[in-house]
Amino acid sequence: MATEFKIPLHRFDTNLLPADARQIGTEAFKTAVLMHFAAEYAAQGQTALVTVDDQDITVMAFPAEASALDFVLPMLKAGKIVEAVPYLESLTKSAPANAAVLYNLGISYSELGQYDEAIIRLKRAVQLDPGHAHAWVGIGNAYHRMRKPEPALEAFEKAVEADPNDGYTRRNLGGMLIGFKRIDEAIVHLRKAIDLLPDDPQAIFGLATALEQTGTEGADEEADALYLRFINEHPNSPMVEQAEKARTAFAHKRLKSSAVGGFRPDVMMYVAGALQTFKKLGEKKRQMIALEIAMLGRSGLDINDPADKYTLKALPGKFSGLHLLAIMYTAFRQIDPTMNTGADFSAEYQAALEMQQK
Amino acid sequence: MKNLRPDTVGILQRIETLSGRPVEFKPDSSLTLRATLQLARNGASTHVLRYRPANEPLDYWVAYQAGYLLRLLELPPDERFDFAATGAAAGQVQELLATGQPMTDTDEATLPQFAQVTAHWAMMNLRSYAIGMRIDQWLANTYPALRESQAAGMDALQQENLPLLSKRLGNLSIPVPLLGPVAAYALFADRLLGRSMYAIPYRAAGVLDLGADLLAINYAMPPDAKHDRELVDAWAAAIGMTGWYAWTPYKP
Repeated sequence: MATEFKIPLHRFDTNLLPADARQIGTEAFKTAVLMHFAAEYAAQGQTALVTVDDQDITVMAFPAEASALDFVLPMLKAGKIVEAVPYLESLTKSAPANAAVLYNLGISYSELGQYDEAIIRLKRAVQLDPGHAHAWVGIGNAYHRMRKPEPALEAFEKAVEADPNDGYTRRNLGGMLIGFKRIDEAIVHLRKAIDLLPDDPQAIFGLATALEQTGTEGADEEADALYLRFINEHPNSPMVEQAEKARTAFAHKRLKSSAVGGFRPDVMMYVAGALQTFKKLGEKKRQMIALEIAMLGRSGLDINDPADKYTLKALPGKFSGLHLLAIMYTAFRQIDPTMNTGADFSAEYQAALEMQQK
Repeated sequence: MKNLRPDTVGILQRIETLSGRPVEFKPDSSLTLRATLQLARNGASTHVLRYRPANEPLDYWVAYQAGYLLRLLELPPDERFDFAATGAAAGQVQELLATGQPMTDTDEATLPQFAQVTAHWAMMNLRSYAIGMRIDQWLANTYPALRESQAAGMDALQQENLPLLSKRLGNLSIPVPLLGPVAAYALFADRLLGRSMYAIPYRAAGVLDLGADLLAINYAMPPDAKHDRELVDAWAAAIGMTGWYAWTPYKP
């Protein structure tokens, strides 16, 4: 059973502390108080968690180190990181060689954005336990957030070395390698990550991203399937938009590659039609049409299906996905030629303009 | 009362034999204490033991409370006394509180009430812990079968006492000397149960020396009930509570 009590600062007997640590409120005082209770309870086979704030000293004593950490872990899981840090700091005083305590303290500092503090604790944890893969990952993440990619990569490699069968370490290393353009190696680690964590969204997205960068037809197909899976399985992820954009790019790539010389006469005809329509309806209507297609496109336009399955409120008729994309491209070329619609119909657009001028 | 150990039942039977009246049990969830024993007085036919329901270890609470009554009953009638407040305590506590503590207007306003509550609490502790230690020692010496229950009960009491170290109202907190009996009891519990952790908080709060002095006074006196009043008076003198109470002849 844990013992818990508070002592107001003014009531604490400072004579129990070294002479140079009796000034209440100083760091030396706080440290000496931690050490005092740590030593008192350690003599009883107990671990003391001590925090010192502006008013009180709070002490919790547990029969063993493990149960003390068990007390702090629920705080971390509940997101009470700021509250948990003083207890973990206290635990490092009474159990300075406990890698689990140092790991949790390091991760807590990292979550609070205190990366230097985090790295000090996490490096101490891996000194004590070189096989602590998650501590290596913590170091890698801290360096990554500090925008120090080289030491981050090194730490992630150590993590995989420490535990090759940990999906999270594989995933993190894979992601890091993408940043270093070491795509082939990234793919190896991300494939392993998915083997180990079949439903992990970051592993799925990471592998799709890596495959996308290889640029081969087979890799594109696999990446497209992975992006689709990501969108279906994690529709609320903020990465969905990026996945949809990637899928659109794949579709355009396929579209172009399926045409002779990459030129699509059907698209040219759609563009020509759009040019005429806009000329007749005017700029305001053109903007409404473009906006409506753009909104429709957010949920995905199937440009590989030739069927006229789409309708617009702003323009009568039925349209295929490719047709709508061509209309939107035309509108945006007229409104703002620098705007990226995700499709490159510049050749078809130019040809349509020339055809109209004849 | 069902489920009590034979030793506990035996203690209660001894009360009945000595007083000629049975002990009635009444569960009371409103109790702030673990249990209280009200003597049969003014013609009442039973002693009434009130206890909090679901209150483990009940054997210890019952035996401990019964111990107070037994000590009274074991004395010749002319040596039985009640412990009664003189009315001086609150003013004394108020002085203690006002000395050396920075006080806001709010503190000034709440001072009389806080002093009243603290004085009442301090007098209750003075008598309870001074005599209570002797009861604990008697239980430990005489009823080894209750040892586990006693250890659990004493541990629970120690845990309950710890908030006293930081109890406050605004800037007002319990004056250190008045924590002496609680510190003495922590030191006593450590010694009786073969531990040394209950005293740690009181050492940190600077009250353990006083606790040790009180405990030494206890050990210096014969443990029988005849010396209970003398012990309480000696503790009161050591703490500075002399004159806060008076002993009045017990009236059945």
